[in-house]
Amino acid sequence: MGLYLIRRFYQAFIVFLVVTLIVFFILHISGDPVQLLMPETATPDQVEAMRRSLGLDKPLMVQYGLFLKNAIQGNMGMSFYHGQPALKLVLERLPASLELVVATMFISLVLAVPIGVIAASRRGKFIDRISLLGSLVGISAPPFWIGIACILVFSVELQWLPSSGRGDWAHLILPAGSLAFYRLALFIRLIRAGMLDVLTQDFIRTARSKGLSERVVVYKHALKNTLIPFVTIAGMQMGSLLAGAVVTELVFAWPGMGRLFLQSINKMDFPVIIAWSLVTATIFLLVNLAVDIIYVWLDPRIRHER
Amino acid sequence: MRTDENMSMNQHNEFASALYAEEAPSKARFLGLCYIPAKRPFLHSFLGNKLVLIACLLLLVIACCAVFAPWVAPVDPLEQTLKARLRPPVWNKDGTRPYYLGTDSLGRDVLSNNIYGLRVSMAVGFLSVCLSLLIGVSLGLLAGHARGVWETIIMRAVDVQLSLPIIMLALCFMVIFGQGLYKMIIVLAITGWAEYARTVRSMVLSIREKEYLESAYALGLGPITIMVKYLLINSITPILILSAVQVPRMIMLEASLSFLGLGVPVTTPSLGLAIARGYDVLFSGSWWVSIFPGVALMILVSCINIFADWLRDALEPRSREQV
Repeated sequence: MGLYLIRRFYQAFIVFLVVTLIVFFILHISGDPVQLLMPETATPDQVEAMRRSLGLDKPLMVQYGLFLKNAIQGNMGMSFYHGQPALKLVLERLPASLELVVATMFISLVLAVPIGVIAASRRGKFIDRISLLGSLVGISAPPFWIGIACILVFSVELQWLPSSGRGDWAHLILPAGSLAFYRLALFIRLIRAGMLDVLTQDFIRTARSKGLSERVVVYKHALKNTLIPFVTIAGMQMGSLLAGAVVTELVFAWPGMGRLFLQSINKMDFPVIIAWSLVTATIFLLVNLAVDIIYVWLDPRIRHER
Repeated sequence: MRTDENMSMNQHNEFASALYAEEAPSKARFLGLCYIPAKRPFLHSFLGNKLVLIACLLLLVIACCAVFAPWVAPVDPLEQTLKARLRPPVWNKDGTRPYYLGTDSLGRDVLSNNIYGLRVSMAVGFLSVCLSLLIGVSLGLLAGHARGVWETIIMRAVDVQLSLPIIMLALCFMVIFGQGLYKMIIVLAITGWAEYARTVRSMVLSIREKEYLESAYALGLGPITIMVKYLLINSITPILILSAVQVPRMIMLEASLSFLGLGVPVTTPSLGLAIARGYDVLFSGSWWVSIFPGVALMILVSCINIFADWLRDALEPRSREQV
């Protein structure tokens, strides 16, 4: 098991390096930072001095090394627009984004598990068909459009809930709800498929022939075994939600780091774009690592294998 | 439950799980992404399922509208009629023909824009999947056939790609390359190739063990012939299933990127852009500008998803049992 974890850490580290390479590439494609930093009246000598002080006269590999060193130390440059360290700006908005992600995951998990289980245990019945059709619509609707439709109904027409900003729990319902729509549908499908898979297996038949009640068979024996592989997928979805929430944050003017990222793209504020990419990738990788560890811990077969 | 009559439930399951065990890791098994040869006639299950039939008919109608958009659309989608700004749909008392679904804030017809938008969505979905299929399948074949260094490099790249959120990659690439329809298709293809490479490689690895491949080698066939005639032909089924799932994914990604203003240029009729324009006028009560393109997108994606589900079930007996 130790070896397995070390391998996973190593893999995550490689991915992190690749992300820094992509981001470094963004930095270079974005044009000459010196021209953005210097006034237009600067003499060629001043420009040259600036280039040297920023290390831009060095070979590309050395520049990448410097960039990596700075990034690991948490120095991703100053925001051109805000005049503050880019990483600080992104991290200030991280709690808002995490709040949205956690609320979304909570809503979708709390609803998806019972619906999926009920659908699977009453396969082919009315409730199963309804949940299948509903989840099909759910995975086919663009989340940002669901958000807009929710604003139209609950904010503009009914005026029940605020349409933008962050504050008390009422502000959280619409963004988290519309973001949860897709995951909810996805999770229902996965739980249902997983349950049907598990329910055909021998140990379920054994449990039934032992005379256990259907409730115990479904919830104790089948659900537990369904949830083990599901943890991996739910974990990965949680990581990708952080990146995917960008669109929803825009729709609901949610002050998260995704919205900051979009604003920075419009202003060509590259340090912030870089900081967002690195923070998002790092959190995604850490969540996936955590999920892998939980998976190993949950499934004794893997625990003993490695 | 449809199993062969002379094969008991239990045996069938053992047979299926033995196949699964050697071909795919538990994650892929859970998602139902594995391959088992089909045993039941294809057309039968197609006609027996009304939902699939309706979805395919709708898809056909949408495809026809998309192809013949210049004749189907009532007006030019980009024509701005400033006198007819923000007209409501025609059933509203202020609505006027030929703006059946109303107009946006620049007087462009919503219906025509949707028809052209569906055209762009379908083209982007189809072309980007074709391109990523081309890249992914060739790399997967190469990795599975050549083994050694090639395999290590390609599979490492696949691992890296699959361990990053797709939307983040797409956003970063669009920042690098800038707006544009063709750039977008290429970016989507770059974000989608890895799953093909992984699927094809695992197929190739299992086919390599088969006797017919040994005989192909013994006949002295060249690597290209073996790759195309033996390895590729025998991995068609999982490639098809994956493609059917990828098309709606790409269409959604296109819409999201365009909604954010990072996708196609504003002069292209796109559903994502149309929703974004509708969002700007949402609070003034002009709901039709953003709602209709979303409905169009949802219908398109639902139909493809229904088709994809059916295709997977028809080609894979194990998951077919579950529906």
